[in-house]
Amino acid sequence: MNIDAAVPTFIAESRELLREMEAALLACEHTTADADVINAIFRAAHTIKGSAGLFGFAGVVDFTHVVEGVLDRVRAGSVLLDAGLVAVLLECRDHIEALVTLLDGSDVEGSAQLEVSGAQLLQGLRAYSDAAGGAGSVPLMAVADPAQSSARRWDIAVRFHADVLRNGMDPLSFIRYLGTLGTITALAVLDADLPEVGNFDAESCYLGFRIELESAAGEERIAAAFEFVREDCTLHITPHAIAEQAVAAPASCTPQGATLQRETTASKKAHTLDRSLRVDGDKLDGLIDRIGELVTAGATMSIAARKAGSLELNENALRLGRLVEEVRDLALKLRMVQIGPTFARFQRVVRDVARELGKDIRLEVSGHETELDRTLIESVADPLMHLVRNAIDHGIETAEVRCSAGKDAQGVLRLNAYHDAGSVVIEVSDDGSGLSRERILAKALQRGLIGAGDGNGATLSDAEVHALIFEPGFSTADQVTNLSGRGVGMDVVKRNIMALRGSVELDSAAGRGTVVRIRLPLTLAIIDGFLVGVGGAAFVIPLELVEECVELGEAERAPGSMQGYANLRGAVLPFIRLRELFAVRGGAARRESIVVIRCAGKRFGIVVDDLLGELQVVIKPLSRLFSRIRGVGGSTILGTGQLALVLDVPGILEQCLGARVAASHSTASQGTVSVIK
Amino acid sequence: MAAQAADADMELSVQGEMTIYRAGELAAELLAAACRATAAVRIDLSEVTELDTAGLQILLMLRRAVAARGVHLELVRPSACVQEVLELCRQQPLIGEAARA
Repeated sequence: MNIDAAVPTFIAESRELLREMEAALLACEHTTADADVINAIFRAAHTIKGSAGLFGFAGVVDFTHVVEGVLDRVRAGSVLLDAGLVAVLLECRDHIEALVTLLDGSDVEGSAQLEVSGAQLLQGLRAYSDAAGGAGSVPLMAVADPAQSSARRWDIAVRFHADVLRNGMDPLSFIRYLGTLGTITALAVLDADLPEVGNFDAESCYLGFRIELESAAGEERIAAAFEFVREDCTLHITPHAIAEQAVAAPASCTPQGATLQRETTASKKAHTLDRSLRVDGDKLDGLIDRIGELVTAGATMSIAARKAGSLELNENALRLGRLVEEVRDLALKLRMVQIGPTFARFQRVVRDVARELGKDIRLEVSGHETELDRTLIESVADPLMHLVRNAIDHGIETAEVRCSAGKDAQGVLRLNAYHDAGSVVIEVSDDGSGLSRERILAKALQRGLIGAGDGNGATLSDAEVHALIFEPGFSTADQVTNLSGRGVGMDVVKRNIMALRGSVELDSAAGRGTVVRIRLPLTLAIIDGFLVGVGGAAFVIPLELVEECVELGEAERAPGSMQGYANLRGAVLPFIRLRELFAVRGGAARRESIVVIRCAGKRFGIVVDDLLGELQVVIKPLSRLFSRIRGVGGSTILGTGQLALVLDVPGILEQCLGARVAASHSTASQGTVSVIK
Repeated sequence: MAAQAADADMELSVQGEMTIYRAGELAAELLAAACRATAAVRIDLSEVTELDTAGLQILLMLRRAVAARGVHLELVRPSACVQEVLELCRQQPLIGEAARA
């Protein structure tokens, strides 16, 4: 219960409050704020000040106090919350965030700078506070009384296990300690578990407590109060809903009845509140991991059952397999989170970037309830940010241009998410100027991405032209301004998405706007794979990338023939040999096959010895030792117990194309370029 | 130290600490006495020097036991430490219940 241990919690909580504050401020910007929203803003500032006071963070307290003072006036109606004040408050919010971020002590340099900018902000605020009486400018440094700065009520339900007394703990002492974190506004002793007189063991604990605590402390700090009995109690801490305070208030006249009634309302509340439960992410990952093992073990078992040839055994193996599949699906669902909060962060980005560029842009969000894997959400945030910034910067025109083009002066940026055929689609769309085919082609020619083989681009479809902007090296920062489309680092976006085994596509209509669609798999942990063999080794290729399999002809196999290209129904197909790529020992098998892969709009072949069929694989990440090996994305254990490597196809493609481009430049082979494009 | 029975209204008293260390012994004696109660049970807690969860639990158990016999439990003259625990747990109504009724 070291106070330092609680600092990260304070930081995390403050960030959360600041996010709420930001959302509320942004809401005020467009409509006249109602009392609830203003209260929310005030509460956020108030709580941060109070908690910061507990820790003795004078800088945060001083600054936030002034902000709170102004907000208090707004709340009282003596200061009008206009767009100007909202803008100042937003900056103040950012400043508080910066102050809070500094608290983790990693950046000493920044603090002096912050002090200067903070002073300027306060100056700006003073204009508002002074106008209404000036008292707000008195700096206050107080270690806030936790009872006073109570911004939140918590419902705490704790049931002590039978052995807690024998283990030398006194539950009452934890409740006394809770009293030091805030004010206990209500408490009920849950004694329903007391047994019959005959069965009563005075050294066992049968009691539970339901406590309403008014405290500025966060959930983790409250939980920390029970640190010493964590093993010996069941603890539920939930923020108290304001509406319920009224319901819980009336107490009946007889004391016994009071306790009972309290208890029933409490347990009812517990019933609804406990529906959702916070689980440590690591535990969840552990579960998924084990289920992966289970899938593998199940596969082994069904192979064994088939070998044994017993009908009964086979049937049971089948049923078990089905159950395992169901459990797996359920477990994967546990990791799903809604994309809403990720989308919400873009409100501010859009506002700020648009303002910076002097554009008027509205963000519309839909599909925020769409769920996807927790790890995917984290990884997709950066590419999304890139796309959003691009759309604002290069997609949507300025108000004048829009008006002269007969469009609404206010541009619209849309974020949308939905599920589609086993994957999640996230759309970033704008109603801007769209991509200009001519400019992209001119650029691609200049960069050597297309050549005479494409008729200088004349033969390319619109989609193919649009796909060019995802090419590495298509655009570099210094060309940003003279290209009316987009293309700043789009290759990076694409690479990031590909790394998540997703894809990016783009639709654009000149003058009407652009839609970028990110398609992601629902989960990263389990995929449908295609198993191939080389020598004694087994490899898995993600099934969705496999287009077809053909036998490798004699001509391509002949030693000394032009290496690396096959003739696929008249088209040139570059290929690589897995045997060479991974230096698998042993000579080539008597027969070899090409697995034709389509990946990122390119087609190429992977030459293998054996085609072993489809299977579902649980991907296990490689240990850090192997993480730098290129071309391998993970490993999996087959039903036979054999290890198989999961190929990182985009990585292989990049690796082999890199080598190819170098080779094609030296041999000046034009045919190659048209295939690789 | 422990329970002494008085007339029809049973009066018990506890001296010293009411904690886990003596919980077994106290519970046995107090509950046995309470199960014989025919009228109000009063427990004098003026001499209690310490009360912990185990002690509180015994009091709650006593209340249950006497209630089952249709009689009242009343804690009288609680010492300061008893008062503190009862207040913390919102169990003051146990004190002098009969006086209020």
